[in-house]
Amino acid sequence: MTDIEERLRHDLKKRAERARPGSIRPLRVPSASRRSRARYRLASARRSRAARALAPAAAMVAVIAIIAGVWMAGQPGGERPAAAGSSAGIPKYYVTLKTALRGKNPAPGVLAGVGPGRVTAVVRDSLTGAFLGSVLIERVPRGKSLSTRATWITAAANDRVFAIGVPGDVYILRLRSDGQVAGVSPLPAAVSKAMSGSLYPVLLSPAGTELAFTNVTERQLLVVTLATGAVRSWKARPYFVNAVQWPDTGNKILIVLNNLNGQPGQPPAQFRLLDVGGTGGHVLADSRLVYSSPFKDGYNLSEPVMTPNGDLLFLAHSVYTRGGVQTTACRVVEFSPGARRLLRVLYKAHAPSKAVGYFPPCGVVSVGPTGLNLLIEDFGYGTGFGRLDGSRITALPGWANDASPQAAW
Amino acid sequence: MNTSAAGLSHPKEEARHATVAVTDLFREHHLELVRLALVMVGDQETAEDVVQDAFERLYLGWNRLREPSNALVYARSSVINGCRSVMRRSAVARKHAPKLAVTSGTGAAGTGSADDDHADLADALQLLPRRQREVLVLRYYADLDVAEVAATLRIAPSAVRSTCTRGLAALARVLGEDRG
Repeated sequence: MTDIEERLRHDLKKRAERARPGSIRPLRVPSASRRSRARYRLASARRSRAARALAPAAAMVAVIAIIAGVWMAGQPGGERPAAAGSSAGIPKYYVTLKTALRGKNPAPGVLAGVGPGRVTAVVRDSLTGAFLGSVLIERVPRGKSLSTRATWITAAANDRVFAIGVPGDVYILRLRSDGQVAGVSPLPAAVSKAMSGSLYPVLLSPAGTELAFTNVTERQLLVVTLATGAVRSWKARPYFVNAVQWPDTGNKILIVLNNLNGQPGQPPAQFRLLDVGGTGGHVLADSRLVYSSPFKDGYNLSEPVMTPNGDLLFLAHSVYTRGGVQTTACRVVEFSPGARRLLRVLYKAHAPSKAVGYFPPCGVVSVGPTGLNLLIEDFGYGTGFGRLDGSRITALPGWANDASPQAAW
Repeated sequence: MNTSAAGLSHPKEEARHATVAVTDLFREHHLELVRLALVMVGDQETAEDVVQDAFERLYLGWNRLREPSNALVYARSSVINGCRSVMRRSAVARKHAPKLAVTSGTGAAGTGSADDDHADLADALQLLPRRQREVLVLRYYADLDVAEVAATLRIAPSAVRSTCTRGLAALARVLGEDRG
């Protein structure tokens, strides 16, 4: 390379580096552009009249979509998330449990029956619904009864490790980077034994290396290292503890402490972030309060999840609306613990209920690694499993409404 | 009913793919493309405008791409085209601008940073014909090989080689004259 080539390369690089990552404006809506931008567009456009008429709206949609996608996919914690609904940044794969039994559907989204049968995990592409693989999880022997209420699946934030529970057993499903099944293995017997009496949901750490669950009778939360079987525990007495979510933020788990015994001066429920990086102890000592006040407008608090910035909770509610006909309602709402107020209702659906007190399943099932893509269920209300897309549920592509659903991503 | 549902889902899928693909491209190459435009037009705000326009066009025309895997090449071409438009217009604007007295040191050469001893080479590039400038920037800033430059500018590889040689020679002459 000649001297002038070397110098040219050096000078151009130096000139280009004046544009630093933090100094560049994000993509923006054209209408918000400055006049220089408008002049540029006017002068450069050589479009047909129809295209010219459509261009602003189309460009606006395009830029909004791109901005939402980039925010979802690329922003670290601490930034306020974009609204759930863009397909950008959603986990690549989702896994459903398909249960085949000779049985019936006692309730929306529930299959109950007896063997012979089988529970199979099916992996699909989240965007296209393309079938990527399936694997037998457990055979149900002849005559053995099983309800899908007793099966569950949960995903690690890395979208590659899934924990699957069937009565009496827990399996770890691992995927390769292309979504193909890498293998299924049962948990060591000691871990399964420790999990007896645990309460769903069981959580996987973001990297899929640890499991967290609660022991209801002992009122404690346990974290198991899958590779070694080592167990760490956090006691919660006098409260009842429930692990809710293991956000993609390392060692912190969102838990709920329920004051079912009516401890004086304590709220009915406390949402806390528990640091499980240590060796164990008491949940109050190793956690910080996120939110402690129940809603006062008749909501029943359930299935909260936390966004990556730790400021917002998505809460799924089921409420009665009384009047003439008994109905139930499902709402997924965004709530700010900091401001202590409801920000917006993300999803709302109503369903008539034939039995007083009966709630069709509804809630946030799983959260994408970014925390911004919600997989929610609304059996009894609408389509079943779906991605929260704007204010409605978009059914997961490829998902079959076969009444034996469990899904995670 | 099923047919209708299938018909509706197809464009949605396409839109999703376009969003994901353009988002990925944006995330990985936005800075690189802004810097490419900056080197071409010399002004960061204009460079950002050019890149924004390129991404808009890419998104809107995603379904018409013959080879989506070559999206970066399309985006780069689009940025280069945008830069051409900007420079063409600024040339016209300069031509018709009122002649004002220019204080010494505030001209085009003054846009280089004070701490940059070699800023004259990047400035000198602006004096070259458009094609030579584009080839040199893509070759020596973007580090593209001859075939990639040819694909981006949609010219023959032999034209890239000859233009590059002529551009370097012209650059040397410009520098020589300036120093002389």
